[in-house]
Amino acid sequence: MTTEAQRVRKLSYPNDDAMRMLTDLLAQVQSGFHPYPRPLSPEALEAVRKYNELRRTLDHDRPLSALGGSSASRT
Amino acid sequence: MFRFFINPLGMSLQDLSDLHPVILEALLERSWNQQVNTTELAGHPDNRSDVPGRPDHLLNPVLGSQVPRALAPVTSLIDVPLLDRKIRGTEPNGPLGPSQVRWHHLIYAYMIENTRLLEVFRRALDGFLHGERLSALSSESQRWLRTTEELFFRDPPSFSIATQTSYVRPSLAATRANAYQRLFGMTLNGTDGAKPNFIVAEHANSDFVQVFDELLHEIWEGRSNFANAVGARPTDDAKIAALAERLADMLGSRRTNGSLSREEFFADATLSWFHAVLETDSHPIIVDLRANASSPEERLFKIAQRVGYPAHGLSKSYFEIAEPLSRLLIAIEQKTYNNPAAVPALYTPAPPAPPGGPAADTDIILTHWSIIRGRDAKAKRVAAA
Repeated sequence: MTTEAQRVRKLSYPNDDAMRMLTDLLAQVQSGFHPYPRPLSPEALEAVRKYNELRRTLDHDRPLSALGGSSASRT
Repeated sequence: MFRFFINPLGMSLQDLSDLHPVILEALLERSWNQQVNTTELAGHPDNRSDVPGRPDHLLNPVLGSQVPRALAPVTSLIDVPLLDRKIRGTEPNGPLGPSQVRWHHLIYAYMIENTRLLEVFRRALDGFLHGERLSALSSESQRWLRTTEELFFRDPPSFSIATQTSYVRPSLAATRANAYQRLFGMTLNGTDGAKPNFIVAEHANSDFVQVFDELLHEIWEGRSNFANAVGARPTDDAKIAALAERLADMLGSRRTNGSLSREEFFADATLSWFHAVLETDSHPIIVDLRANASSPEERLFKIAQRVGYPAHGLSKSYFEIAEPLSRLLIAIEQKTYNNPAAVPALYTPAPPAPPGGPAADTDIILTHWSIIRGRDAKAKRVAAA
């Protein structure tokens, strides 16, 4: 940056501290958009509980994948 | 329903195969009578139907006695009253307990039937009943053969909840195909000539597949980005909730006042019988057909080879997806995910407390739905210029 540009910038944005704080604030706000991993909301926890109850009352609890085997095509 | 008798309730398939068909039919009736029944409108997963089954006092005599095993000492008995008590949730002859029996969503029957196992077993029965080309049957297998033919390859007895043939609809296969078309807008993938002719309904969920594709894509966005700490997070919980609501509405519309529930119940019972056989490597009919293998689809392939009819090459995916997809669709019909705040449960893997939840099922569904559809549900969208 030239001396002249530095001078202009300093004149235009004399409050360098505010710029730094604003940048910091934006970073913090952005990280707020990505709050994971975090605990599930009460509604999501209730959805998990209902699903587990559904699974308990439905017939079966043995994943077929536990039995192994391949999916090769044949007659 | 038969896998329900086996896995949670502890009855072996061999014992079920030993029972007289009238007892099995009575167990199905009892299960229907004991279905989950809350104050929800008929058709809701918690109140599938208000149509009454056979009165319980007519079922009690049939289910009240222990039955000797076929080829064991007389003292070896099959405890039918115990199984009945578990279904009823109470003591024999006591007051009925709270209704608690559920059956799978019709998608379970659709996925299992797509493996073509019904036609494979029909041809096996044909071979056994008309000659000795396949092999000579053991006594245990002959009992299984009799039960299977009585329950699933002839018209069900009158006044049963399974009675779904008449002058109006003569074919059970066509009844199932009609139900699949109405709920999912899909037909079976049977080979040419093996597909049942059925009445195509005017009101059908023809956009089910499209909406479900979209739902899975959005769930995958959530799954692949749930732990993002930096950068964009394209997960759209509101859109997932809207798509879940759309599915709940379209499925609920076809089930108004409990329609299709009887068809769903008996279709699930039918397919679960054959599914249970393929899961049991030691079952006499598997042994007699020399179809021992390490997995259900491998046993099916071996039987298919013997009867000269092609099972579906993607049978493994159909077997794997059937139950997780059934559970997910029931939960969607319960409108659990219509609230965006509940949606993270669909893609957040293994929440520590409480454990379980739907995320493990959605992972399985994403994998096998993509294989079955031939379209990758995880693929990025490409916008047309």
